[in-house]
Amino acid sequence: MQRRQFLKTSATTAMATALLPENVFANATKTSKTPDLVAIYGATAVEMFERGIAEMGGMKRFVSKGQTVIVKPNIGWDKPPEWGSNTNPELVGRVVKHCYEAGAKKVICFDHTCGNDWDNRYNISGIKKAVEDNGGEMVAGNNEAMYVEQDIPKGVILKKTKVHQLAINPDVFINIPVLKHHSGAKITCAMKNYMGCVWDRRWYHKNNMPQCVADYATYQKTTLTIVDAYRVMLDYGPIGKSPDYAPVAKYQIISTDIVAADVAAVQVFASVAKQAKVGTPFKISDIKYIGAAEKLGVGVTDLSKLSVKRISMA
Amino acid sequence: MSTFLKYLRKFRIAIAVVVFALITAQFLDLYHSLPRSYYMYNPIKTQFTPSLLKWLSTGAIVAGSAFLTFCVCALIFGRAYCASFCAFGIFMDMIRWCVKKVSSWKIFKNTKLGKFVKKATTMKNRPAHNVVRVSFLTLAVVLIVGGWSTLLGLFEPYSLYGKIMGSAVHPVIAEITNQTSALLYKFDIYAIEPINGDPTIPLALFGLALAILFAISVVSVLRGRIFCNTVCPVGALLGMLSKLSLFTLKLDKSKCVSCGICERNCKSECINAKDKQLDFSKCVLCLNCANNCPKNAIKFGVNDCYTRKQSKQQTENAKVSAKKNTTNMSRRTFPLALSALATAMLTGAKKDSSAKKCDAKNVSAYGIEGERPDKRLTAPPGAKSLENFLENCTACQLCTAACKAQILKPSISEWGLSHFMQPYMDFNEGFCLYECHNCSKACPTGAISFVSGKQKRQIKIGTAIFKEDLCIVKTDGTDCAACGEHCPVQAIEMIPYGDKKDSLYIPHIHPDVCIGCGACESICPVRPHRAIVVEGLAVHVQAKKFDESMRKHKANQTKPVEIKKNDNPFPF
Repeated sequence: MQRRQFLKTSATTAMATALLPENVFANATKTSKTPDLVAIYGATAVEMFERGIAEMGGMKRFVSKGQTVIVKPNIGWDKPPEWGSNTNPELVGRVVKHCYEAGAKKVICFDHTCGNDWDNRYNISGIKKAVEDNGGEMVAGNNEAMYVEQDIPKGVILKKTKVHQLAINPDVFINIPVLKHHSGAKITCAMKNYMGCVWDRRWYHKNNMPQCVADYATYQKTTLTIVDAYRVMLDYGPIGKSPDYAPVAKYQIISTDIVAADVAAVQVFASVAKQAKVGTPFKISDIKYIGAAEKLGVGVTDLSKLSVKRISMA
Repeated sequence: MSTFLKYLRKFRIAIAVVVFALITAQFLDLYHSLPRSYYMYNPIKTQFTPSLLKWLSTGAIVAGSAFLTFCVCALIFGRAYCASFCAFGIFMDMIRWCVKKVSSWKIFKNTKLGKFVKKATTMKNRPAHNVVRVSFLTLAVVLIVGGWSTLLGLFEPYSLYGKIMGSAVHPVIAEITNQTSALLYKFDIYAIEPINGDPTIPLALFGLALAILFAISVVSVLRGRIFCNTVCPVGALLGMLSKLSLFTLKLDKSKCVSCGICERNCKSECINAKDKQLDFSKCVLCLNCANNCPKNAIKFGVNDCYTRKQSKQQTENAKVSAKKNTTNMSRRTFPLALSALATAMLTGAKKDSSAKKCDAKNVSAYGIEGERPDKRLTAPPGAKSLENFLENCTACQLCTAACKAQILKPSISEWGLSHFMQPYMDFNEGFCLYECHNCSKACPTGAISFVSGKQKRQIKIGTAIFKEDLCIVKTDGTDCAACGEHCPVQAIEMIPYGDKKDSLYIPHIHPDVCIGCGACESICPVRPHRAIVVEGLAVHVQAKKFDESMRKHKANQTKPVEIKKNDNPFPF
């Protein structure tokens, strides 16, 4: 009897333990299978984001209830969305919406714009409206008093810099750069977008800008990088000359690894430039901050080391 | 009649408050949010001297409508401009009113201060300083003719008011807004937005504006509108005209009992209650006399010099007053001043035509003192030429308040001391925003004429000069391109530099395309001398539009070809 009971119990326990992981830790196993980087092609920015974030495991994977989310798009220039100078406003709006749906307490969006008329740029880019329509808050970045000096321990050149108070120890930090040509850095995307978090950009320009960009990336906590490559400005960046030079390419990259996002973005840029027969199809080695960032351990440049998912919606 | 005058006084005050509020709004428009309709009916257009200057500089009679209207008003019923439209005059009235009000509060009433103010604000008739008045008017005419508007701006009422608002009040309010905003940000409250740009101005100029504010406050409390009847050239001119006014304010001799209430309340010190006389050339039509007269003895009547009966009496009065050493406005000075004014207008017209003729060759705009060898200043878009800008600007500081980037700053000696306080474009921390044309909307004197946003984007006010030997790309061998990045018109092309391995790019300037906005200079990180600076043009011209054929590197590129649907879209 005892032996039988023992066998029975052990059998059920064995069965239970065999079954349990699948049920109880089902999400965890799924997470480990969720990709580090999702590249999407062939639809509007919002549709691609909806699909991509679902593949990444939904916004709930990144945002917990009650957290404050900081969203950092590129709002550098006073140009409307079709110029491709700033991040697609609908995409930013949808990101804000997803953050709230995931339970965020507050979603705040800011950028240190490239000019003294920050409010103008917030308006013309359409991002202010998009963010506020979805319940988010737009915060200015043009007042030096909002910036606090921070140490960058891993920095090679950039050891100290004044950082916008919202970018310091955020709960969740979502980087939404736009992929475009850049006269100085050749291509600006995810890591370069962080120049909008610091006060003194001239210092970067003076002291080996690519290295400074990489140095800052070691400091900034990044939860998620969403590269907007719906329109890709191929030349005359970062402001642009006319909407003609920012053809609709319909790409988006969502990644947890900021360096990998930049690597994928550069390759997208090169392929679009070849197709459109405009601009230079840059190689990854041309974009100096990418290599510098990998050396500092910010992320990986070899996409084969990550689980990458490619989705074509065309 | 007296109830009419009492209502008229209320009406005067109402207009004054509205005009004052509208003008001040433009100086304190921190967020540049005044609507388009405001600028279409810009209340600044009512200001007397700016209107005259604009008329002279543009030659358009519409611009001078305020000047003409108030001159005609003065010929009909006196100095309406001084009563309700002069921002500086209203400002003085307000200071006086506030000081009187506060000192009559219970806590102050019986203190020494309260008693002092009460005593000080009780006016009494004093002789007119006609020599001073005519001198300042003549000086103003000479300054207008000679094109030295800076000096005119130091005693002309609107510009003085502008200096107080633009250089003392606006920077303070803007700084307070920014600091409060930053403080609230620390507590995660984002209700107050910081303003664009850096609103600070040189301390010396801030001090000067405060000094003007202090001086005018003291003077207006002690002597009312004494400024208007001594220094003010507008007051002098309109005073002369109102001497010949068809209707004048006067004391009804049958009713007046010489109680002196009107004299004690007269801001202009122009009523002599004892002799029942009112010097209408000094009267600013405040109508306090009519409001306070217990006998309703103040009335509007036909000017004595137009009624035959009383003309004799008037000459007698003139004699009496001459005996009392009160120099009345002499009839001779009026035609004198009028002819001077006519000369001013004529030469103004001449000046205008000569301004059109001038070109870069015969204008030695940089002959002005204070020239810096490494730097030639620019005049804002719409100024047409440095000469036009410097001749017509009275340094009222309205454009410095209107500048969205806050780069228009009052100068100390940047233009040279002879152009003290005239604004210059400071490209150290900011640049002239491509889409903004606020200064041209604001300027009341024609120093900056109105240009539409589209026109403004094509005006070339200067040229960027690139100094390769200072550039980071050459000296340090690292990427920079801050200038190329900020250029709104593709005037800076980044071309390959040095070894191909480094893949460095260095700026190359297309001078014809450059509009001189200063974006490149403001962002250039090289110190102490920047590697790219904007040199102002003496005469503004049209900038060329950039096109592909101008490219130095990889010329003749076509526009992008359409991107087709890609079946194998991922390159990685």
